[in-house]
Amino acid sequence: MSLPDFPSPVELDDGARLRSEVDDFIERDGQLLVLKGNDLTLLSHVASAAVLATMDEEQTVVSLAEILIDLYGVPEGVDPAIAIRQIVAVLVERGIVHALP
Amino acid sequence: MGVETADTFRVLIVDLEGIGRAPAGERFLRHELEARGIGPDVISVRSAGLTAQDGGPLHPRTVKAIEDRGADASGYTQRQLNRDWVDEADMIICGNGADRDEVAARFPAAAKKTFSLSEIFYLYEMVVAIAPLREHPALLMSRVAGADLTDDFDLPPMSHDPVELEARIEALADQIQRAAFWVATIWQSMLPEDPSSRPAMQPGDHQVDLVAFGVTVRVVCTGDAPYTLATLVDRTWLWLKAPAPHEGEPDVTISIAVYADEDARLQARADGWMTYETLSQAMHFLSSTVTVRAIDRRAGQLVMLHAAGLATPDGKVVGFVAPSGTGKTTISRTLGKHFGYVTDETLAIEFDGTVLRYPKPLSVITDRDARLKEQMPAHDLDLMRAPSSLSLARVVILNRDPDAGDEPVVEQMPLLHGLAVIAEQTSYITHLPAKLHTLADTVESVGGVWRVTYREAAHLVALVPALADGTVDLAEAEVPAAVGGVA
Repeated sequence: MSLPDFPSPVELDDGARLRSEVDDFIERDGQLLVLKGNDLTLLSHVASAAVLATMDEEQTVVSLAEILIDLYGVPEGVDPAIAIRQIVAVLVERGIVHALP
Repeated sequence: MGVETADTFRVLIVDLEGIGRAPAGERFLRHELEARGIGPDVISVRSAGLTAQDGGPLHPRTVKAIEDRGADASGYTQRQLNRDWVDEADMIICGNGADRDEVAARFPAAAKKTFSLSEIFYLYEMVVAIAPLREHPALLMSRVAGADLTDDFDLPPMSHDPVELEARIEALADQIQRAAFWVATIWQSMLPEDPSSRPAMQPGDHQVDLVAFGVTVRVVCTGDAPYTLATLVDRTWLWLKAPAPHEGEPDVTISIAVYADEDARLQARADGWMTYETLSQAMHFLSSTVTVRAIDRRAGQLVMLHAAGLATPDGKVVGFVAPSGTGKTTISRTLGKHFGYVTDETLAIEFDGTVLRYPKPLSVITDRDARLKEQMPAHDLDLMRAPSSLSLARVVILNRDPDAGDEPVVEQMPLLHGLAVIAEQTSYITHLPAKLHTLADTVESVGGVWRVTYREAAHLVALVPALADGTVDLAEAEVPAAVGGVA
């Protein structure tokens, strides 16, 4: 099962390295408002955690999934491998996270 | 006319086949921009087709339609839509809703900057009446979802049936040319001045000097009746008139020509004047030009919100933030009879919370067919002057709800949710010294972001003093889920 109301999972290997890059952000209670170029995005807690985890150091898809599972547990009825790629897809689509070559 | 730079506003026009509508749009829009002295270093325009054949020719009938209307069709070859062009574009304009949907399906990240021609035509001047060009796509997109628009300005694809094509193409070309003229006129009114192309004043021209949140502005008037135009500007902008003529070069000069004769307009346009057929048109666009050029000059120096501002007698300002076309002017007209009128559009705040008055004429739609807003001077509407010393007291998001009760409901927004709304209505946030943090500091210094849900502007009159003083019973706002799930 995949996360409802999310885009299709991004096609990345488990070892693909991820990094977030933003122009500015404000954090309140673990949630981020992000400025990237002229675009603003208010992120959910789980997406915020993904961005923070990849901001100072790169993470692989697997290590990022582990961080999020540590924080929030495994989403019920959802394949974590698919869910992490769906969350990353949202962030990649907005230019906030990118896969390193 | 220079080459593209990082500051260039990039427009991409997209249709299905890339042989008719999009190329015509590209060439007509380039023609109109060039006629206004706007080079590709300022606004670049290119086009592509969803199913175009790279390198293929333009449809010969399209070539004729373009050239018959005085634009240049030479050198065009088909280009299929590609990721690089989509990524580089600041705004993507599609022939119709189906083309827009296809662009968004292929390039989901581009959905937020992709519009059908009908969306552009019907929403543009309502939504982005007064804002720097780069902010237009986000402002437009914030209103598309809730807008009840017809699609009758959409363009059908080219037909492969020769008889049908012949019948359709002239109408299509006329419609595209009209849209190009209209969009170019709007964009010109919201661009910074290029002093190198400023026309020289001639004997008989008149000028009016204004001050807009600390920016010295000179409006130079020429045309059939420069004195009449200058008098109209003087009277309409009375509350912003400079106390004495500007000494030396003003920060901003706006050169306006009004000619009834088309040839005279073309000549004046070529000479660098912003040129209009009627006084009403000139006054409509002047409001945008003064405001946007002043915003451009103060980028990074002030927090500038798309907000109405009303002041209590002791100078406390309540800023009512809302997208254009959703109630700011009505709020200003109604509340401004009871409280000092600070602005109906741009709330300019220094970093210490001092508010600069900008009591511009109010833009009121009186003739929807003419697509113009009448500029009504504040003193004609019996609005009250704001005190000279003003400080920000509250930032309130306007939420007009026809089903709301007589009693407005005031809520405290969670800071990030409130900031997300406010930031979208802030000019040049990327130029602020600490970007989002500067905005957050400004907002948090006055108690964060509040939201008021109301039915009629008149219901807010009794509420303004309490909003300014903070003596309001606050409800807790329900907020929508953020991007990336609800965890």
